[in-house]
Amino acid sequence: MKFALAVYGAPANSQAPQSALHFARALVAQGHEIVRLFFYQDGVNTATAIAQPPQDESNLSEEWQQFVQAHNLDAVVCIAAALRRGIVDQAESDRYELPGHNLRKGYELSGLGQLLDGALMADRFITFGA
Amino acid sequence: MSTLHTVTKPGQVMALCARAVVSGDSVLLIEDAVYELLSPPTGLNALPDSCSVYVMDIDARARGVEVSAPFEVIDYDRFVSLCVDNEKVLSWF
Repeated sequence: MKFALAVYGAPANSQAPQSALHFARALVAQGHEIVRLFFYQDGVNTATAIAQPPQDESNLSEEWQQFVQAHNLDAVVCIAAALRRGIVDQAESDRYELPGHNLRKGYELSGLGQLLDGALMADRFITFGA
Repeated sequence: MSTLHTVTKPGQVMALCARAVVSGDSVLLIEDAVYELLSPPTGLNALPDSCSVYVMDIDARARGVEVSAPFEVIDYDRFVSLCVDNEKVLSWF
């Protein structure tokens, strides 16, 4: 069965990315297909490459990226939510003349249309809210 | 057509969810929503008798919340199965 997941919470102040990762791993283990991951609102913080949680805590951003890359998933980060929170890729960094870029590899900045598209493509659409 | 309702928070979120649940639906409590099992479970009492209520195991254990019948403790594999068994999934948060 085809699944699309939306994540609305950030690793530092919400359990949403953790719950969504547990769920996504269970999906893959059962042979289901994840057609779209959409990181929205504070959830875009999951895709930052420069957050450093304390060493005795899990690094959810790292775990999510490894999962996305291992399964070659279509992982979209909402561009409007990301820009206002300082999550940018090389192209946006150049466009706004910013001092750097921090979007993890494996993710793509795109619009809210991709959330709707994911919901339409999938048999089931699950939101992990903050 | 049945719906799986996933609830992430106790209190008002659970109460609003309960208004939308109809006979044959399933409700899954995850994250802080497991606190809904502490007395008095006002939101849960508003649910129809014919709906099943599930509780995420790791979230209940992480919060020291004990789960007893008629509530059923489940893991993420079962969460996935519930998504397959219901035609729609509604997330309350």
